[in-house]
Amino acid sequence: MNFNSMIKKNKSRIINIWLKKFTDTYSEQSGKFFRDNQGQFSNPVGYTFRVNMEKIFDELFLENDQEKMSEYVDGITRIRAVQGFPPSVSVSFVPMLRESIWEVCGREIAREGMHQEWLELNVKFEELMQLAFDTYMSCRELLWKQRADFLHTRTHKLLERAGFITRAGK
Amino acid sequence: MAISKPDVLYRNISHKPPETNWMDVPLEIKPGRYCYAADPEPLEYVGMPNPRKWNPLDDDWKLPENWKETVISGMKERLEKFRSFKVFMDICVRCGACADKCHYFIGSGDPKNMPVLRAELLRSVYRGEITKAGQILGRFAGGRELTENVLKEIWYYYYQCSECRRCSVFCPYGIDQAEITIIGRELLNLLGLNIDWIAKPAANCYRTGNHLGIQPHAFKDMIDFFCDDIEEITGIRPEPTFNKKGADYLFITPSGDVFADPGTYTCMGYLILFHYLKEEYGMDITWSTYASEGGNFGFFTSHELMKRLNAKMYMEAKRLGVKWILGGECGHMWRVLHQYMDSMNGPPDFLEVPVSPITGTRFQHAASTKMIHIVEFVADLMKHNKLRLDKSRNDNLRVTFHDSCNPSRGLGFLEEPRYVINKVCNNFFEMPLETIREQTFCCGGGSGLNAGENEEIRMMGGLPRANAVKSVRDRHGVNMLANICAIDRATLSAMMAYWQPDVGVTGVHEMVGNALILPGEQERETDLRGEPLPGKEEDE
Ligand code: SF4
Ligand code: SF4
Repeated sequence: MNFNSMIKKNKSRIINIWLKKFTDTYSEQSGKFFRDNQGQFSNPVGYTFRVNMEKIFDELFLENDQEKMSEYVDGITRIRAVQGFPPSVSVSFVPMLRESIWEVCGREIAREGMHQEWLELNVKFEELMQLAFDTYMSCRELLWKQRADFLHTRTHKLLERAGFITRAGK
Repeated sequence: MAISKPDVLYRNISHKPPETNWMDVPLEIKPGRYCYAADPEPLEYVGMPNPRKWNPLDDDWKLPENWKETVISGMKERLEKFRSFKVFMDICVRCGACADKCHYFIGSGDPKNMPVLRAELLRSVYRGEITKAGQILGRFAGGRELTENVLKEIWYYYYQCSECRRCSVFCPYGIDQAEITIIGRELLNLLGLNIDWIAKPAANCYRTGNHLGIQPHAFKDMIDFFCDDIEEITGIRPEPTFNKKGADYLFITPSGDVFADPGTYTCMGYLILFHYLKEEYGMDITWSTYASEGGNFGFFTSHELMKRLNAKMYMEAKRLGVKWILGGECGHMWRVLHQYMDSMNGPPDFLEVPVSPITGTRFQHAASTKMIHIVEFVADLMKHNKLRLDKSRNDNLRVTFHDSCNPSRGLGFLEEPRYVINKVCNNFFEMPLETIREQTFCCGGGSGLNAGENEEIRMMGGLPRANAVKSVRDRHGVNMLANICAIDRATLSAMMAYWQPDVGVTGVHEMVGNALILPGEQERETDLRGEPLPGKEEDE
């Protein structure tokens, strides 16, 4: 069996381990809620994590389309970026994917001597990590921008419209 | 094997939080989740206790010496006074049905945002300090002593509850955390522990008549700007009256509609509507520059301050001699009106039972309060075909409707806004049932929590709503989120910008203003936002 099909064959186990690791970053009760409640609308965090994890996993072994990958990484990272985790923990789902695959398939990879393929996959993880960090930063920047705009739009626009501020050159 | 090393290394870093009983989880006040402390000036202005500069991140919150006694006697007093509070403190069986129903828990995963634990923060003090069993058995009976840390924890989490009441829908006993939060905040306010975003608007409203402290001339100027814009778009200039004695009706809306986008477009919608009603039916509606706020941030502070701020509406109605009051698109104004106004400041026998002068419909449910909501008034006009509408002007919009917690879950305005939307636009799509109507998810910024500094908790709390919007955007191409609440218009705008940037936010009466055909108007090229109308894009 080749490297990719060996990993793909174990998809559901890998995803379950991956989701478990990632949701373990929350307190016990919350991690359980995020994992176990299957509702798309009653548990948007868990649902979004699971759906996007599956998509990331699939995409990794398809064309690894950057645009699609960005969308899936965004789904997870956008949530993490507001949950108060340190940046490294926010994007820890990427190393956790590598760890989960290794836990499930590591023995076979070693036994079959698929080191080259594993290294190649690791390059993809690195790209994924960069993508996750960029997404995380853009989310944080948007939050800061919104915070700055918050006062600006409320007070400045008001003063401007009421004629208390005139722009230079007017 | 060499390549396993990073994995082994990584495994040794634990991201897992420790497992502890909730009472032992130490309090950590996280930036992005708490709101800044109230400055002393607004507290002084309304005569609230312990005005001083303080910072929630400091160890010393500068509490009065007898703070503990104040809270406990305050609690005892309220247990006597508010039957619901007493019942809610006693009857929870900790079944957990409410646990995962709060948007702040669903979005953050912080267990203390579970309604049952939020209540327990205060209930444990009730047990530990007030009930006999708790005083004897302490922790075994779920009781604990009120310490400064416990107080801080209550403060932190009671300003992470938007008083939306979603949890109460799922509780078999109807325990309403909103009511518990209201009392909890009232107790905190006995010690001067308000937040700035509530205290300032409340004081401004008390002094000047609206949250931003906009003086009458500036208020009028703003409305005049809107009239300029309307004239440019329609060729017709509305002529609203202000503080007109002897007018038939008084209109009061949240000041957010007058001063913050996109509420300003909703305000233009009101102006167009009132002009139409005056021209076609001679209906004489006046605006007040003194009672210029539909919102009531006193409601988020204490019953007493809510009463004071609310009184302004009736006083102004009396001064002007109107028949009844029409309220604009507001959420919590409606809760104050229906749940409290009549017993606090009413009944206002100087007003009449609201009857639509155009259709003759008598709004019996308001027989005592003498105030009705614009969305029910307009739905009635539409039902009787009293408005000429061109709904195709809203054809560029694919609309979904966010039920604001107060008007929907609180008061049952479920059909009226939908009826109006369907009359003024062709493309309306509902979000999944479990996220609308009685089960609606909060915008994340209700009850005075739409400050700038707590943006992260607002985003987390807004996620369940945004996620439901995403589903109708993906399925039906929805691009507009309608609502009938000014806090929604502010909060949802920032929330959508983060979660669904291609979906805008609108008040229902902005769409009404777009669709309404004013007698003698010119052919419109743009909507109220100045964007080309559908079919007019090429003429640009
Ligand atoms: S009232 Fe709303 S915000 Fe407060 S605990 Fe209940 S669901 Fe959460
Ligand atoms: S649903 Fe009601 S009884 Fe059950 S835990 Fe929640 S508040 Fe208590």
